[in-house]
Amino acid sequence: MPNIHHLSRWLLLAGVLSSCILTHTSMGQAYCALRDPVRVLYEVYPEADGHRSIIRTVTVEDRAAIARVLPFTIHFDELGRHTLYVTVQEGRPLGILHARSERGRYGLTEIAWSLTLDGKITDVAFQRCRDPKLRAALTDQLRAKLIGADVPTLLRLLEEDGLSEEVRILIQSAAKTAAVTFIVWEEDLLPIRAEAKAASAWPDLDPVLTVRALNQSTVTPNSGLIANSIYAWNATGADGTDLGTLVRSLWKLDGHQAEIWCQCDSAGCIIDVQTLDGDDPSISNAFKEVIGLNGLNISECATAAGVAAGEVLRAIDTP
Amino acid sequence: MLEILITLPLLATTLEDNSITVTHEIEGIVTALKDEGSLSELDNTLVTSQEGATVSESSKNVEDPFPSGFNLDWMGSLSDNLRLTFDMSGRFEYDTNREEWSISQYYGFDLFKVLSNKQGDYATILLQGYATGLDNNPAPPFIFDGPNDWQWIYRMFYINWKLAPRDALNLKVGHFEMPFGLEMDIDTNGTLRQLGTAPNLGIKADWGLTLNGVSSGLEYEFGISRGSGFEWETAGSPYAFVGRVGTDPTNGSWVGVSGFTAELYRPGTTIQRRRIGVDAGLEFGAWTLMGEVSGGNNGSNDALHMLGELNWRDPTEQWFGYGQLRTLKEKKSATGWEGKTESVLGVEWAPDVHWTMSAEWVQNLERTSSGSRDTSIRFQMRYRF
Repeated sequence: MPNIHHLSRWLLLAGVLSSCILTHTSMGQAYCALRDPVRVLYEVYPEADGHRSIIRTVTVEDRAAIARVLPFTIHFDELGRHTLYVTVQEGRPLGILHARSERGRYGLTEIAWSLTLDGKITDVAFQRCRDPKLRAALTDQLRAKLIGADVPTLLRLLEEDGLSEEVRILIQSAAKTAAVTFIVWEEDLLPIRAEAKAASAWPDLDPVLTVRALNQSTVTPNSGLIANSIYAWNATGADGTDLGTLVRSLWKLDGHQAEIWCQCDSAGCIIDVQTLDGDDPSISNAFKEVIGLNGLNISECATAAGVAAGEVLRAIDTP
Repeated sequence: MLEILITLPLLATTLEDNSITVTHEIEGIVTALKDEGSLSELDNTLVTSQEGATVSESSKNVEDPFPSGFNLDWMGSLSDNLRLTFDMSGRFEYDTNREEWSISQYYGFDLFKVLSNKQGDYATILLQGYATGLDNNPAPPFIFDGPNDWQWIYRMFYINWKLAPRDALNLKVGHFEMPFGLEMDIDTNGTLRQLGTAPNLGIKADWGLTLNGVSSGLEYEFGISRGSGFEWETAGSPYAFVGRVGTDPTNGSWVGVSGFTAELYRPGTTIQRRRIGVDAGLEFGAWTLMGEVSGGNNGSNDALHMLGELNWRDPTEQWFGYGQLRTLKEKKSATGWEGKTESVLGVEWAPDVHWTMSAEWVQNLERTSSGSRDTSIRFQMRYRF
C-alpha cells in the first residue's frame, strides 16, 4: 500500500481545517437536490401564476423570540437559511407558503403550510410524508379547525384533551410555522402586506406605494401606539393621481392590543380601518368609530381609538 | 403583526414529550419581540423564564436539509435569496484486485441563488466548482492527465429561467446533470452512492440546455448538449440528446421513462450511445425500493443496464443504508454479453449538520480473468460549512 501515507496526510489536513470552522452550521446535501415545492404551491394556490422566494437566516435571536411566543421552540439545527414562498397572481401577492420539516417515525416529514399575509392558516399539504398514520391524521375535521387559525388559536387547540400524537405534531407544526414566518420574515412581509392591502383598498386603480416619511416624535406613549411600529405609504394611481395614504401601526393599551391598518384619502380623511386583534371584536368596533374623521375633527372622538387615530394622523402630518 | 400573533392573555399549555411534562404559564402580553429595548419588566421576566425552559421540542425538530452554513449578512443585498456553502471531501478506495489504495480529494463551493422581482421568481442559479485531486487512481476520467493529477471541475453550473407561469416551462443553460433515469430526482453528486448514470450513458453531466418543468402532475426535462462532459470539446462534433418524463416522486411512488442518444467526445475519437429506459420507485415506511432498466446500444453492440436498490433511513435521517444489485452488459459479436454485475452495500452517517461519513462495499459477482471476484471498499468523509 504505497499510498497509505497520503491518507494520513489528508486526515491531518481535514482535522486542522475542521477545527477552525466547527462553530459554523452546515448541512450535508448539495443544493442541486433543492427543489421548490411546486406541486403543493399550485395545489394550494390554484389561482397563482408564480411565486416569490424569500431566503432568510433563522438566527439564535429568532429562536429566542419564538420561545417567547410558543411553549416550545425550534431546535438549534433548524437555524440557518430557509425559504419562504409568497404566491403571486400577475405580480399581486396572494398568500404565503412555508414548508417545515418534522421528524416522523420513518424519516423526515415536510409539511407545507399556507397562510394569509396576516398570518392565519389557510391550508396544509404534505410535501413529503412516509408515515401513513400522519397522513391519515389530517382529516377534513382537523383541517377545518386549522383553517383560519392564528398562533393563539393553535395553542388553544393544543390544550384540547385526547389529541393523538400525530394530531399534536400537525398543530405544533402549524403554530411553529406561523410564528417563525412572522418573526423571521416580518420585515420582508410588511411591504408585501401593504401592497395587498392597497390593492384591496383601491381596487381597479392599480395603486403604487411609496414609503412616506413619518414624524414619530409626535407619538405619545399613552396613546397606545408603538412609535417604531408605524409605517406609512403614499398610494398613487397608475396615472400618478394621489389616492391617499396607508398607515400601519401596532397598538397596545390596558391589556388590549391590535395591529391597525388605516386607509386615508388624499385629503387626509380616514376612510377605513382594519384591526387585526385576535378574537376581540370590541377593538375592531372601537376603531370603526374613527372612520370619516380627519385631522381637524379627530379630537371630537374622545375614545382610546380616537386618540390613537389622531396620533396616527399627526405622525403622517395630515392637516 | 407580531404582537397579534403573540397575544397570550392567559395560556397554560402542557406538552408531553418523552415522558417529560413541561407546563408554561404565560400571563400578560409580550410585545415587540425583536425590539428588546421596548420590552416591559413583565415581558422581560417572561422572556427570561421562557428561554431556559423551552427546548422541550428538541427531540422532535429537525434541520432544514439545505441551510447555508455561512453567515451571509455581511454581503448586504447580494445575500438576498442566496445560499453558499463550502464543501470538501476525501474519498479512499481499496481494490482487492490491485491491492492498492487510491485517494480522491474535492474542495469546492456550492452556490444557489434565486433571482426574483415583483412578478415572482424568474430564474435560479446553481454554481458548483471543485478542485479535484486524484492519487493513484487506476481509471481516471479522461480530463485528468493521469492517475495522479489535479483539475478544476464544474459539477452543476447553470441558470434556469422560468419561461411560463407555474413552473410549467423553464430553460436551463449551462452544465447540468443528464436527466435520465433515477438520477434526475436523486442527488448523487459528490457521494459514494451512485446510480450508474455515468457508466451507462458514458456521461453524467454536460454543457448545453434543457427545457424542463412540472405540468399535470408530471415533471419533465429534455436537453441537448455538447457531448463532451466536464469540458467543452468540439472535435468530432459530439452531441447528446436526453430526456425524461416522470411522475412526482414526492407522492411516495413514481415511474419515469427516459431516452438518450449521443455521439460522445473521447480524446481522439467519439463513441456512440443509445438508450431507452424506465425507472420506478416505491416508498413504504422507512424503506424505498427502486430500480432502473435501460437498453440500447454502444455503437453497433447491444447494451443493457439494470439497477435495483433497497434503502432505509432512521427517523432522524442521520443514518441511511442501501443495497444495490446492478449490471451493465454489452453484447460483442465475438464474445457475446460482457460486462459487470455487482452487489453494493453502503451506509451514510451524518452525525451533525457538518459531516457526512459514508462507506461502501462493492462486490463484483463475476469472475475476473484470474478467476477471482474482486472487491472494492470505499470510504468518504465530507464536510460542508
